[in-house]
Amino acid sequence: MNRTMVWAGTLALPVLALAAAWANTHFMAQQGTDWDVPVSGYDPRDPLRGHYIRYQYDWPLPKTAAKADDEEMGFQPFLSGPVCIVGKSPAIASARLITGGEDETGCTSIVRPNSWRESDGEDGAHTDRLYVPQAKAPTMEAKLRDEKQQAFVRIRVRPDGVATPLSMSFMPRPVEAKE
Amino acid sequence: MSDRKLNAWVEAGLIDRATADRIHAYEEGHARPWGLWALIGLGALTIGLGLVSLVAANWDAIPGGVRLALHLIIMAGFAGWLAWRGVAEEGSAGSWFSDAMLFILAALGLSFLGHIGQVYQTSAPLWQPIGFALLIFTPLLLLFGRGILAALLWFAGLIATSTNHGIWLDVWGTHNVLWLGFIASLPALTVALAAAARGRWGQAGFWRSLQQVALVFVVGQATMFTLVVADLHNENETGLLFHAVIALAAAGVTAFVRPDRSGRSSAMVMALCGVAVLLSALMDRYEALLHATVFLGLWGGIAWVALQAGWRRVFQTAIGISALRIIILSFELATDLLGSGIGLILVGLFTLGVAWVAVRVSRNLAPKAEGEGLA
Repeated sequence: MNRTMVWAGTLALPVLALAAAWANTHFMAQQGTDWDVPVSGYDPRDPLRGHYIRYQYDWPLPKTAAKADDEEMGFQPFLSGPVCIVGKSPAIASARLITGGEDETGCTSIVRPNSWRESDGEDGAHTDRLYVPQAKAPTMEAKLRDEKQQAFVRIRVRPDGVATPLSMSFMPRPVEAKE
Repeated sequence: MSDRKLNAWVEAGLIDRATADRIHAYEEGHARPWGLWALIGLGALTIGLGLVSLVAANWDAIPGGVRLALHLIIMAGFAGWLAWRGVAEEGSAGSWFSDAMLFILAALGLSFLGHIGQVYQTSAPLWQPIGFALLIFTPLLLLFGRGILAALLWFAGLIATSTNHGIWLDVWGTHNVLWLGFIASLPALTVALAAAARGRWGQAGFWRSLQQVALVFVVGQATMFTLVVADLHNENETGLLFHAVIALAAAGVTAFVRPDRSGRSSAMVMALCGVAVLLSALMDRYEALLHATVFLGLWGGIAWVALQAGWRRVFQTAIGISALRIIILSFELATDLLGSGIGLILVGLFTLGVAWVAVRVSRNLAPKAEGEGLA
């Protein structure tokens, strides 16, 4: 084979491969169902890490006695395992945890935790992070701390259970909650 | 060259007037306007920095797709320009430049993967993007790398991928010690690969650099193993043994594919590393004296190989490191001495003595400076 051809080919390979990687990521990013999930900052002192705002999902799980106790005591329960979402995109009607091989039928979407990410602090199903522009970060951080505002993250859940956060929005919280 | 200096030399009778005039004429013809070049360079750098900060300040305002497209276009344009320029001839003045260009292209490629992650909010274990970049740049670097810069880049990619993969496996809890032992042996295998490729596939400079870089890494690895083996888990022993066996095999391959003096010396060093790791893995791990002996055997052996091969600086380094280890050992063993004034004086005298011997040995016994480095 001609040496110049090989030179051009080896130069073209990384460019083409990266273009393909982009195309693949783009294609994968279009797959899935969108949901609006209420979130709260899980480390109120330090919701920002670098360029990322960190938060935890407040899935509308069925009230159990243990959970009610935890909430009364002011604990944030530690949750793990896949989350089953029922509803009509992007509004979640209800959610439940699937622990230990429970029935997965009836779920519109299932969000599965990403075990390798747990060491970084976020598992993608109960906690996650969103890239925010530096200029917007301080206002978003303040709103996330604000008791009168409820934060929502729009996520896109792929059929394989990977949830990708897309954006964060805020709505005024109903007044009845706290006395 | 200033005329003042030349005039002074003529007056001192060092050179005659005719020579001074000829030097003057030569220097005038070969003058390089360094000041002007520096100013041009400074101007270019300032414009570059300005462009970078303009883009950085408006980064978030540019849509992700546009940013990625720009990044890819810049990369494609750069690769196209390189393709159009053609291959730099080996050993030519342009070979450093060629390596630098490959380095920039690889940096653009790796940062593109990070850029995709940022735009699409995806995340992946670190070894995946680095490994992907390593994969797609390997043909370019191994076929057209010219010297140490390309060799370092490829080797750094290999080490970053393999160590991150090892850490990731650890996090997963999949503790496949044989696989970890294999990962740890990649530098040793690289030495054998580079030794085989040298003189066969061209690019002598690149393969020679790669062999040196990898060999230095193997020696560093073996040294670390002999130092930290006491802190390792028992289960890692199998992995270490496996690594030692691969290193010894790689040493055999190196000696076989390159039976000249330099190849044999590299193989000897690697075999010493393999034996050192093997012994440290097998020995009682809390015997400080035994492990120090293995360490000294390794570095004493390297000094001996350097002496045979005529590597002056390697010899001196090996003697220095051995002396340091002896001094540290004296502190390890003399814990009861360190409590008393007399003991401190004795250890201090010992330290000075070792340092004196080391300096004498590395001055008088060191080979003459020919065939410098791990050639």
